[in-house]
Parts: sequence; structure tokens; C-alpha cells
Amino acid sequence: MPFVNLESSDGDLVKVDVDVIKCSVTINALIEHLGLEDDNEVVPLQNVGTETLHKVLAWAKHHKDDLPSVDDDEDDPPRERRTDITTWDANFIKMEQIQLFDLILAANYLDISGLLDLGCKIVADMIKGKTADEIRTMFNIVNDLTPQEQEQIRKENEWCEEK
Amino acid sequence: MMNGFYDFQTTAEQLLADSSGMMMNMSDSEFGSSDSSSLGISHSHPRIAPNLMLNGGGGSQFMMMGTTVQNQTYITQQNPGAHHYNNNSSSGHHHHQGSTIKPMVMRSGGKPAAMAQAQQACTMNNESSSRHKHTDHFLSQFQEQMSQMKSAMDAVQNEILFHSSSPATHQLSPHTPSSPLMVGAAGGKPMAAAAMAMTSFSPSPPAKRGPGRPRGSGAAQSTKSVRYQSQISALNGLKIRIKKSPGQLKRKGYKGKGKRKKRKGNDDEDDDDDNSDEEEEYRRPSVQKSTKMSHATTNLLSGDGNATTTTSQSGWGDSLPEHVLSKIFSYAVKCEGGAIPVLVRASKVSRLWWKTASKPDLWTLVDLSSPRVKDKFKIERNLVYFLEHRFPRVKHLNLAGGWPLTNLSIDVLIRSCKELENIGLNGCQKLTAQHLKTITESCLSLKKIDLSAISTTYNTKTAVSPAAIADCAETMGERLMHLSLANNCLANCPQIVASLAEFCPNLQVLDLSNVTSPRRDTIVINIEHLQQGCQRLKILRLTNSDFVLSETSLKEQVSSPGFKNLEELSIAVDPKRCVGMDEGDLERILKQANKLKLLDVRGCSRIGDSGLVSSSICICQASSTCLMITYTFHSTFIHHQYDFHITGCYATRSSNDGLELVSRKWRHSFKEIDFSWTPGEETINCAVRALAEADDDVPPLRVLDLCGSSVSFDSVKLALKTCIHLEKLNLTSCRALPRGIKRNYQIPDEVVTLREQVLSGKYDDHPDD
Repeated sequence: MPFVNLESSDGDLVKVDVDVIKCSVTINALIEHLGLEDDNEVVPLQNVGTETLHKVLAWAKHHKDDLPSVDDDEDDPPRERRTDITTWDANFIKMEQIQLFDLILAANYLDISGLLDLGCKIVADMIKGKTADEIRTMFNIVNDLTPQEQEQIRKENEWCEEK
Repeated sequence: MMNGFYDFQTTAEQLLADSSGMMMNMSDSEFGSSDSSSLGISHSHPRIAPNLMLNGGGGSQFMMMGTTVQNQTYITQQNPGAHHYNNNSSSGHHHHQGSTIKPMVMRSGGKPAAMAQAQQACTMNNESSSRHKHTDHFLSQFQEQMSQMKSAMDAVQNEILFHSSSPATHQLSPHTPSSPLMVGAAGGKPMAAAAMAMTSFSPSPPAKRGPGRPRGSGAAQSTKSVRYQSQISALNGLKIRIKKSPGQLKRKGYKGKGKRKKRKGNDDEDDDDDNSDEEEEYRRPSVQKSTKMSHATTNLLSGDGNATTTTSQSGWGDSLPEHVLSKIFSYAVKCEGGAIPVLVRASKVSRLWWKTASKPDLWTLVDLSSPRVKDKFKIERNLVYFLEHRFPRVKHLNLAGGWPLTNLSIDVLIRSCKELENIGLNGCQKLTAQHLKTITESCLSLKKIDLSAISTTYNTKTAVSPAAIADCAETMGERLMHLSLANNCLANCPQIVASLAEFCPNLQVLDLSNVTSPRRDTIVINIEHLQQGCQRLKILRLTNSDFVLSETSLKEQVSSPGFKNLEELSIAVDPKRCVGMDEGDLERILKQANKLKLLDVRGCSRIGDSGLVSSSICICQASSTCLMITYTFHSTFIHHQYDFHITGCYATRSSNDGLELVSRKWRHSFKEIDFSWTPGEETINCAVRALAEADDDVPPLRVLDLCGSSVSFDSVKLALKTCIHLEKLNLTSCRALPRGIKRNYQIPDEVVTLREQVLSGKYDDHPDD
């Protein structure tokens, strides 16, 4: 069964080589459990829009021959971790934060650990060295903390407050 | 483990590469005081200077030393006690204990997906997907899984209650069928559960109030210190960093209420600011995803009815699955090298971020010596609170810089931090032998321990007494990988080394820099014994400690396996204080050390130029993997293959030959050479010519520093002609060069222009001035 049809949340059908999408634990499990023998079977992906789905598939296609990732060496110095993003990935991940958000959710939903790691690393890099206000501005996050909670957080963290 | 890259730091005293000797700020009396020594990095050492990383702003600790003596490179430390443990060890593997969510399967008829309680969900799912074959079989399996997680979900609901009881607005996103909020919302009233996710949650502990402002806490003032990091990397060559960190504390007694009062006033101001910010935040509409979001919100909240929606939230703020956010944070912690300040900042972003950032799982790498941690908070109560509530999963904990290690805090430490692997106790002068014993006996994961600057005087009760260290070595045994005893007064050092050799076969890093004996006499160690016992040793630092090797029989020397894994050896000394080791000693230590990358023998007056050159060449030839050899002879500093430094070369006839010999020997591999402040026309010209000699191969040289030397114009011309890869050339203060040429050429284009001008004869007519 070389192909599987994926239906995005926008209703678009995308025919995908099973070999490409095998990185998705979710879809793998689905195929295994449900035994999609018929090429016309459609797998609806509730939470993945067409644009995001194409992004995911582009990533999956590029990484389809990757070896399963080995766990990080214990003794790698933490600050060197950033460098393990390949140039291709770095270019791939250059997108608006909204698309990045969708991509991360899709990777989470489809359980593609490589892509999820990539997204998380990029976001980690984005929040690095930024203050809470800067982070909120960057991601359009509304501060949903009540004044009481803010006071509590401030108290919790006053031992290493910003200047 | 540890293949490839090291990031370690040493308190190794930086050495004054000076013809007249070295200047050390090693004296114990200065320890812990802010004005212990002058510090400088000579401008003539560009290899070091560009890599300086100053941690923290203001009051820069190093300064250029305007000196009357030429050829000086000063790097001294403000405070030799500073030791830092930001070691190579990684930490913070992604723990998502809080919630792991793995979607198992999706099959839906396109209805909005939400999580329902197990039974109901399955029923619903059964209906909605009944058109598919095999589904029933799958679902029966799934039902089992779902019932297993039901209890977990009950736990989640507690958390949800906690959530919904808070008055703040909250929205839900359609993107995260597995997010805990969705579970909560759908928990009472199941929706068509089409997409299923297997979730297991364990609620994070309810946030507790901080310890509050300590009452009458001692306002300790930290004195900044510089720490020296040398890094060896197969990729990057040698890096030396100077970082400032709060090393030791100088206790200035207790500050009165005035300070607190002032602080209080500031707090109030801050609060005002916060509030205004917050109002602004509430007003600010979020355009992103508002349509989608409100749709979902309506859907999901229809059953709940409690929450009201006034503003729309970006998905990043509240609907990112918690385990994804955890993952992001864990990467952020890794790339910032610690949980502080990234998690503290993240916790102020939104409620979800706060909850996620408060999870102990993420606090695995904590540097409480960070200058961000205010000294006045370094009291026992805070430490106990942190250890109990924030750091139960901590692996790397640095308590350097004046944290009060009392019986109670040690007790809490061993009770709550079961996973501790690396502890930095640099400068914890109150640490007793009993404390150390308790820690080593209780923290069974402990591998690395930094006991620098514990005691500067001999004291049997201290944690660095010979009995305590021997006990530590015996208790930890195979677990012990890193041990730093730098900046201590160690009684009976031979016994310490012997017990390490006896019990710790996995020791990789041993730092005995700046170690003195109570009587300030020479310390004799049996290196063959250590070689037998600790064959995995990679880093041995004996910098600025008066060590000599014990007399051992030839038989013992021959049978010693050597340090086969040794990558760094420093035996640099202050020649004013002691003579250091001789060539025979060096050879004994370096027996079989084929992986050596860094050798520092500055100040060892008994190691002669030619002897060192020949022995180093032997090392080079013996080892195909030898990437870099750094050595100094009479303050000459050389990195083979990656870099080549000769800074402040002392002009003697022999070093004259040595410099030329070294140049000639490795001209095919040098990429960077620092000949700055080399006196003696003959010396520098011979060396430069040796480098630039016409040969079949083009020298790979890229950076050449001739600053302050009396290099001749002809030599420079030859170098420019031959070394076509040259990218940087420093000709400032070269007194023998013509006017107009004495600049620092920093970019390749400038060098190219200079080359064209020089070769076209532009400067030829000018007489030397």
C-alpha cells in the first residue's frame, strides 16, 4: 500500500507516499490498526490545515531517509545544542510565528518527533534572552494573569528579578 | 561520553607571560576580597582577547595594562576563588512528566474534535467512525486504554477546577484536542469525540507562594571575579574565555532597614508599572486567529458556561499543549545554559506559561551563582524552599557564591534532589567534612563535584581535609568523574591523590590548580600511581601549584600505562614562586598521552626551549590525532595546527632559535600566529621568514600578529607575498616599518589592498623611521 490520502481540515485531499509519512507515529498507528488497504481510503486530519500539511509533507519528504535520532550525548555542552539544526531545516523553519504555531501543533498531533523538536528548538531560540513583555509581543500573547497571580509570580521570583 | 568537545573552566591562574616572570594573584590573604589583585589582559594577546566573554555588565574586570615592560601578557584574576561549574555536562533532557499526550489515531467525520470522558468518548467515537472497517476492533483496544487513563483524567480535573475558578478570561483553541483545558471543558459534557488522543496527565503541584521577602537578611555584597575558561574543541580550536561571575562573597555585615525601605519603595513602583503594563495587555486585541478561536471557544464553552471571553488569545499563550511548551522550555534552558533567567521570564508571560515553567522537570540545570540571584536572598529559608519546591529534579546545581549551606539545607538537599549529578560548591567555606560525607553518601547520581575555594587555611573539619576527600573518593568510587579542588589549602595532598588513584577509576577531570600546602612547601605526587588508577583522566590541571613528581623506580615508570586519554595538561607555574617541573617530569606525565590537545607549561623554567620543542615534536609525531599543542617556553605560547601563538617572546639566543625552529617546523599547519611584542629584530625576522619561505605549498596562514615587534619591511613583504590566504595582519607599533603601513588590517580586503600596495612598491622609497 504505497499511498495514503490525507484530508486536511480545509477539506483538501493530498495523496502521500506512505514511506514519506511513516515518520508520523499517529498515521503509522492508524494505518497499522485500521489496515488501509484501499488506495481510496481517506484519512481526515482534523487539526491540520492544507498549508501546514504541505509544510509537514515537505519536511517529511526531506527527512524520510533519516536514521532514527540517537539520544543526545550527555556531555555535549548545552549551548552547543543550537548548532544541530541543519541548514535545510533552518531554511525550512523560516516562517511567520502563526505558521510555526500551526506546524508545531501539527507535528504534535501527528506525533512527528523530529519536526516537533525542530519547532521547539526554534521557539526556544526565539524566547532566549527575551523578557516576558518581549515574548508576549512576539507571539501576540495576551497576559491572562490576574493582578493577584502576577503579584504571586513576582514574589516567587523576586530572588532573581530583572533589574 | 565527552567525545569531541569540552567546555570546562579552570581557575587556573592566568599567567603573566613576562620575561621577568609572572604575576600571580594567588595569595590566600586576598582570597575573598574584592580588591585582591589587578587584572589585565595585554593588548598583545589578541587570541585571548577576542574570545573574552564578560558575564554581566559594568565594572569591567579586566583592563589593559599600560606597562613599561614590553612583552607582557597579563591575565590575572580578581578573585582566584571563583570557580564555576557550568560544565560540559548536558542536562535537562526533556521531561514531560507533567503531561504526555500522544494522539493515537484519528478517525472522524469532520466534526469538531474534543476530548470526552473515556466511556462516552468511545461510544461517540464508535458511532462516528462506524463506517470504517476494522474500527471496532481498534476501538475495543482503545477503550481499554481510555479506561486506564480515566483516573489520570480525574486528577486533571482537579487542576481544571483550579483553572476555572480563577477569574481571568480564558480561551480555548481548536488546535489542541489534547490540551488539558479542552479536557476540562469537555469533561462534563462530552462532544463528538472523533479525534482521539491518549493522554496521561499528572497535575503539576499547585503554585505556592514564594518565600516572601526575607526578614533582616544579610546584605552580602558579591565581589565579581573573573573566571578563566579554556575550551578545547575539535572544531574550534582553543578558546579562552574570561567570565565575570560573583565569586566569593564579602560579607559586609547586615544592612539596616534603610536599604529595605528603599527597596520597598522600588517594589511599589514596579508594581505600578506592572499594573499599567497589564492593563495595556488586556486592552491589546490579538488579531491572530481570532475567528478560529472564538468559534472553538463557543463550541467548547457552551457546556461550561463559566468562562467568559473578552479578549482573544494567541494560541501561543494558552493553547499550546503543555508538553510542547515544556519541550520548548527545556530547549531554552539548554541553550541558555540554565533555568535562570529563562524560566523566570517565561513564567511571567501567561498562565499556561507560568504553570509550565513552574514544573520541577524543567529545573534541571540551575546556576544559583548567577549574578541575577540577589545576594540578599541567599538565606537558608530561600534555599530550602527552592530545593524542596523548585529543584526536586535538578541535576546540575551550582551553589557557589555564598549560599548558606547549613545542616538543614544540606538535609533538604539530599532529601529532595535525588537526581543531582553535578554540584558546585565553590567557595562554600562553611562546608564541613560531615556535610560532604552526607552529600556523597546520599546523592547517588552525583558524578561531578566542585570543591574549589572551600578552605584557604588548614583545618581538619573542612570539607577539603585529606580525610574528608579520601572519604569522598571512597564513597563515590566509580561515580566520581569530575573533581575540582582548586584554590584550596590542601593538607596531605599526596594522600588525596593516592585515594583518588585507589578508588576513582572513572575520574576524568582533576583540578588541583592554585593548591597550596599548609606549610607552603612543594607537594610531591606519585603520578604513576595516578596513571594506574585513573586511566580515563582527560584533564589534569596543576596550574600554579607547586607540584613535583615523586621519585619512583624506573620499573614503576616503565610499567605505568600513562594517561592515554589525557587531553589537557597544565603545569604552568609562577617562576618567581617555584621552579615547576622539569622535562623528565613532563615526559612522565605525558607518557602515552597521544590525545593531548593542550599543554601549558608557562613559567616552567626547567623546561628548556629545545627540550620542549623536541619533546613536543615527539608528541606530535607520535600522535596522528594530536590536534593542537599549546605550550609556552619563556612565555611563548604556541598552538599547533590550529593556532600558533608567540606572545611576548623572551629574547634569548636559544628562544631565537626556538621561534624560528617552531615556525619552520609547523609552517604547513599554522593558521594563526601571534608574534606580537617579540623583541629582537633577528628573532622575529628569522621567524617570519621561516614562515614565509618560498615552498611548493602555500602556507595556510590566515592571521598574523606582528604588533609591537621590530619586524622588518622586507619580512612583511615576503610574508604578504607568500601567505596569500592572509586575512588579518596586525602591524601596529612595528617600529621598523615605514610610515603609513603600521595599522591593524582586520578584514581580508584591507590585506589584499596592502599586499597590492606593498608589492607595487608604494612603500619602498620610504626609509625606515
